[in-house]
Amino acid sequence: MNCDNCQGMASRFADNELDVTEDAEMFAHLQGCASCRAFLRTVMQVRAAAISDTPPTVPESLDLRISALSKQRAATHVAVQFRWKEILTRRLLIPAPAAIAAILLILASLGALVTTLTYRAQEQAQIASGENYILLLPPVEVRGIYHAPSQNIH
Amino acid sequence: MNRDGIRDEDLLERLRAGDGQALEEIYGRYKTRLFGYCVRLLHDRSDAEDAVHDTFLMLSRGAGSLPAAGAFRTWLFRVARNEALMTIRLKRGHTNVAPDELWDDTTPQQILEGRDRTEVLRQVLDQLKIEYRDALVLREYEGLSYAEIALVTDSTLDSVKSRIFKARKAMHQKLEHLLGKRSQL
Repeated sequence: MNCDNCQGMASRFADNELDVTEDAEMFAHLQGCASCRAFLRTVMQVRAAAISDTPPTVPESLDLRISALSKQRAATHVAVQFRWKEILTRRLLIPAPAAIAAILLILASLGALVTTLTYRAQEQAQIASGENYILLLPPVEVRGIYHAPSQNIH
Repeated sequence: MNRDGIRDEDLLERLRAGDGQALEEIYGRYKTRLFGYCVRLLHDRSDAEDAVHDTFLMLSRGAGSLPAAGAFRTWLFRVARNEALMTIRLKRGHTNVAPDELWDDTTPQQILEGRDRTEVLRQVLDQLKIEYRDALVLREYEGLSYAEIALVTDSTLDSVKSRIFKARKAMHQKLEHLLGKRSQL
């Protein structure tokens, strides 16, 4: 194993990414290699420095900006809910009576049509059977002037 | 689940339902880590503040299409990282870095001005190129696993291992150069 391989393993060793076989190989190399030991030491020192490092303080201005953002988020959500209510009231509830009236009108018209057709069918049946013979007579036009009885007849 | 017993899933659910307070609770939970991460990437508190703010702005706007809670932490870091990289690109005006370059151009020669070894280590880390610093910060400071780092940085597991190793090796060489052989066992 050369130093580059060993240091690659040392890097993964620091991250608990080595299996048992690799672990043994790496430590066997480390025993005789000061350079690789120094590398592993640096890796662990960087780790220690990262752990002991105090994280930077979050500025108050960022807290305020996020707070404003959350309020804006809540307000937007309320606005969206309000819009749905508006759609329900204006676009559905108000035209609903008109739609119902139109449907009733259509139903009434259909009823009248069905009644008429039924009556006609019965009429035709009566004609066909001769039951209502008067309907077979041709229409007669009656002309003339009706004179009302006059009181001035001499 | 957090120390307060409330899971990220619950907070996300509340956020989806329009609870603005949930956003603040998520912020309270992650603000220190995200801000620290962005500061370490950007070296500028004001830019880091903007990056974290924009991360939560995206969280607020995209609350309906957020990832599952299991991937939420990596999603947050990923968005914060993208915001930070955007800032760096806008400032630098270019994005491409030669693969063999591991150090920022602005590496100070007087890095040993740091008061102690920890400070020197931190300064050396800060001088790494963003690609390498990013992976190492996520690993060392945020404790993310290789798989999580791969998700955050949108790269493969092998690439993450490689970048972390290169970053550590570069740091070791730089420290040896700066401190001499004293660091050896």
